[in-house]
Amino acid sequence: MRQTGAVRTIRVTTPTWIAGGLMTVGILLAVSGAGWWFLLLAAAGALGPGLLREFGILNELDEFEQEVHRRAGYHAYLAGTLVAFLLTALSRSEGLTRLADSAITLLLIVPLFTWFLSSLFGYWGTVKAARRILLCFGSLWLTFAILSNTGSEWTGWTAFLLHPLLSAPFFVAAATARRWPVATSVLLMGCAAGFCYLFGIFSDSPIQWLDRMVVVILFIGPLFACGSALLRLHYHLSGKPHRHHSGNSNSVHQESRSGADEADDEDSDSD
Amino acid sequence: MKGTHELTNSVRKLRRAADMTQEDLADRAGVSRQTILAIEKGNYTPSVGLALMLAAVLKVRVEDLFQLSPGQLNEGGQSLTQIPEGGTS
Repeated sequence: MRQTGAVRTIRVTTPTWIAGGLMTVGILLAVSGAGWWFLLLAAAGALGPGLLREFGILNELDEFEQEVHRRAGYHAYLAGTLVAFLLTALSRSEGLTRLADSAITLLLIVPLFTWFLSSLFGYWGTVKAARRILLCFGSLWLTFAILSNTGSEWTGWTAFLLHPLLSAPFFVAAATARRWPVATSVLLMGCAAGFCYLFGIFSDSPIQWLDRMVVVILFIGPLFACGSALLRLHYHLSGKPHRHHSGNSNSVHQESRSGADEADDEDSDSD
Repeated sequence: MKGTHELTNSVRKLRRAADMTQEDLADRAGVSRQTILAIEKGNYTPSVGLALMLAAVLKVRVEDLFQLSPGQLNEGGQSLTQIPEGGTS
């Protein structure tokens, strides 16, 4: 077998780069005080490629990538509509005349965040995406925990050791996702519930925790998304018939046992 | 899921037999490497057009690349092997 050189693990097309750039610049300009209208620049980045593809102007994705985008869009619709229903019910039941600022931010973030995570799961496969997402967010939170060490009530070695513990579930789950997907999903869901308790979501009124929801989603979202995706993979595969065809090099039976469906992604392309 | 069919495929085996990498097959079929990977793992069922293209690149028949899983064949107590020539039972 021939050996390949550097193998791309993800194909980022030029429109995707431009869209990502527009989103980043738009959000940075908006939150830095240059003006909230710059969010429309981010909107152009988030929605522009999709709109152009719908009109047939842009045609750079192959059929698998299009399917991943459609599926992610459906997931974003489900999550976004659920949040919209919840917020509407909340505002009507509480007799609110206006939605809180955080609620509007939530309506914006949840579909985008869901779309992004779902795209990764669709593109890389459940286990591989879960591991990469957990490692990425774990690293981000570890950096955040270390940087926020100063000015805390915990000081010295105690703080140095305790703060990074917040990111520990991400790394533990990333290490166990491939071999024990069900146990890992239980761990992730448990951690998500634990962090909800830590952030006081269960103890405060809905109006109070709405203010904290954006941060909570960015922290708990990856844990919950990875946990539910791993659980879904397990139950989805356990309902499938076992494959015994001699020509097929991948076994669903094997996948459902160990969650190793994407275990050989990295080496399979260098054969 | 209703209306969907479980497939097995021999894409990886036949690609290796043709001494091609995923990148080679992807380039020649006009798709991304990730698409080939997803097909080989059974995570994605390609369209008829792409299946024909893969078969053409690998110089095999589509039936050699993709097969209905044994469970699907026996569903409803009827095997496809029992269906006579012409496709009507």
